[in-house]
Amino acid sequence: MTDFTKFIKRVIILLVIVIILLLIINQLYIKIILEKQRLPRNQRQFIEYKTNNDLKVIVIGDSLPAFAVNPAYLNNSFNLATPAENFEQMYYKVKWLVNNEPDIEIYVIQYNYHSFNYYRIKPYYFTTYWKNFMSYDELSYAKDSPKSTIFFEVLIPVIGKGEEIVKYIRDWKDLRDPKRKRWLTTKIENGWINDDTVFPEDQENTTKVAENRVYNQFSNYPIVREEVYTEIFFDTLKLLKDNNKKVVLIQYPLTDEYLTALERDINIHEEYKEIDERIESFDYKILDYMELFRYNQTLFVDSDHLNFRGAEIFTKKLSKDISKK
Amino acid sequence: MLFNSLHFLIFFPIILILYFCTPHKYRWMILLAGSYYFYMSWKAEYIILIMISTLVDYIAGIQIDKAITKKKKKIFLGLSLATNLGLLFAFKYFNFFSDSVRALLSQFAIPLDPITLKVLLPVGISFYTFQTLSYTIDVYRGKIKPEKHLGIFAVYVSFFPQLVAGPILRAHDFLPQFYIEHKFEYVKAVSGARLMLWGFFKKLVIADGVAITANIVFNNPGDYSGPYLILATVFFAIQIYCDFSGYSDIAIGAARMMGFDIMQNFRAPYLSKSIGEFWKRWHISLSSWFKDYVYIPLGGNRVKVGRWYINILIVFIVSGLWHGAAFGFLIWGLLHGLYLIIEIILKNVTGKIKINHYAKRFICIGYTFILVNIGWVFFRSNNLSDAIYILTHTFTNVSDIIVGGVLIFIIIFILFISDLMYSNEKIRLYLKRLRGIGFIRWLFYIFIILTIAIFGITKGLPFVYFQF
Repeated sequence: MTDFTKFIKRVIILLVIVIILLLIINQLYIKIILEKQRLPRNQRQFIEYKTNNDLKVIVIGDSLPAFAVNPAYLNNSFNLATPAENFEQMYYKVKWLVNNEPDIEIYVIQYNYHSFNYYRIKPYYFTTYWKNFMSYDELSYAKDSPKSTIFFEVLIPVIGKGEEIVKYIRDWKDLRDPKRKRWLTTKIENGWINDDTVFPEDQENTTKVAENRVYNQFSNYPIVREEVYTEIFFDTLKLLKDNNKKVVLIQYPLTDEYLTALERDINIHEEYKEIDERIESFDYKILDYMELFRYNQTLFVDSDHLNFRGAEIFTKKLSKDISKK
Repeated sequence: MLFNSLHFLIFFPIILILYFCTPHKYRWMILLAGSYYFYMSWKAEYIILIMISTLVDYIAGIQIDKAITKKKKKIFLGLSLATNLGLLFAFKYFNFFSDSVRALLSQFAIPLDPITLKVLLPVGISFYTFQTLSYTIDVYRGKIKPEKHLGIFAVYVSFFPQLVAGPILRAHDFLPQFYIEHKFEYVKAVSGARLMLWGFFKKLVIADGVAITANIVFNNPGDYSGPYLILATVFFAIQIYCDFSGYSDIAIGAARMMGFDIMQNFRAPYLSKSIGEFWKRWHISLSSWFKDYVYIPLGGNRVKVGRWYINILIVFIVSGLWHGAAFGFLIWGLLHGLYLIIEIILKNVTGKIKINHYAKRFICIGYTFILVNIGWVFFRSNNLSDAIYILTHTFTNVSDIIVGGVLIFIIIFILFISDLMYSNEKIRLYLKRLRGIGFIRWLFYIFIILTIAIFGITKGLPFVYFQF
């Protein structure tokens, strides 16, 4: 055997062993970690729901609707909102739904101001999830990665997820206690995140929590809007309009601490007046619930997410308001 | 094309197979086509710059050799210098120069609308320019004969493993290697592949991993207190070392697999006991280039003491500017020059201090590492005010420093342990024996590949030195 064939043979053997081991680790990662996370669970429930039910209403947005809308109180609905979802992701999701789920009649779209700012960390981190709604070309463009990389991320999702594995090992003991670590044990029902935390009981300094949240979300504060996200938002509305879909734009409830921090230097409604007017040109109505529970902290998980009690009251009201519309 | 891309993982085996399947006489064609393709996958039109450099230096080399009079030799040397440095100036320094002139004139209330070139900096221009310059200067000095084969010379200029970030090769070391028929050698191929693997590990797992934290802090230093600023600086030190030495390892490994020997570019630099030693261990190919083509022609240390110090400062300032057209690099270079001068002045004093050998070694490594890190602050900061902020706020919130200090110590320890393995003869021998056991060797390879796959940053972040 020549040196060359000996080398090639050994490289192939090494690669085969590595690939087999990688695939085993990948399967373990999928079963133990990936499938337990919010987005993959949401997706599984979505497929199950639309297979067994008549899906007419879909809720889209980030963690605000994910916590706030309990589909149990909104007929024929599913909550497809996922934490940290930005307007670009929302656009792709809506585009997929319009093309693939023609029976959906009402789109409940989130219209809270923080989504007009760039603050999301690791967007498209769950490539496998976003592949459900986007093509390889779209993902490659959105993630600014070659298509080949996207292909491997979808095929072998464990690639590049070392940090997550370390986090899982670190939290392994705590994961048994659903109260302590929420990233794998959150209760999800028809896409809705069912959380029983109570803001004032859970946090020592609620004002500080809210301020940090606002200044994280509005990182260029007092500049509270970025043009690129504004245009994507209107692209989404136009897409829905062109497909004759009924749209309900929601401003989800926020705590007094959050609103006070947000309005420290500006009048937020004034800042968004132009956007409100543009929305009216679509003939879409905005349902503003931002102040609905302003002084009722006990309905919140934190400064801007409703807990299970808040979600129940809120969704019942939302259901009525949508019917009126 | 980036080494850390799937593109390269497909490209390199194809080139390797084609190279060894092609008769020796025609192998340069494979290497040239491969090298040009490698460069053109980044920005195709910029290959013209490499071609210009190649042609000018090829002709200049032959004409210098042919020329009988010194004057004629000088004309062709001048042509080569003017072309190479002209391109470098136009693409890398023109805008900096233009902005600096504007800033200077504005001090005297003279308004000037600066002319700026809207061009992208060609990747690796500083590297291949210095490589070709060394060739013409060596031909001029009579150290080497000019290369007659244009194809081989073109491969020397554009050899893909080291084209964009070195090591900067010398013609007398590298050109003769093209005339030796490289047979595929199992031992060499394995050693090359192993070095490449180690380079990928350093880049994808360590460098890109610590870069996340370093970038966050360096992009907004004002948001962070002392311990975080220290942590980010040390992280950057780790990042730049693992990034650059990782690239060099991949380059040397890839060349070795094809039978070429490329000079070592790093020798555990953070274990240096002085700044002088640091520069013998860090980016060796560039340091030796400056020594041979700038420092020695200036007179080196065979001049009066004052002049010697000026020579050192000139070399380090030019070295700083080689990295980039910005004041941060200039100060970084100047700082290292000053470190070295102070070290020379204090040498007689420090040499007399009686202290335990190990304690002295530890102190010297520690102080060198701290000085190097101060330099990195200027090198990495987005502007001078950020750098000054970092250095003046290093000791704020001191109570947290213990936590940060422990963390930094652990990181440095992990990093240095790998370098120690190579620098300590006993450990090397022990590892060699371990490597002899096939099972352990294979386990190690599998572990490294899996770690790269799972923990590596897959985004394909470019190497830091690409920008130079």
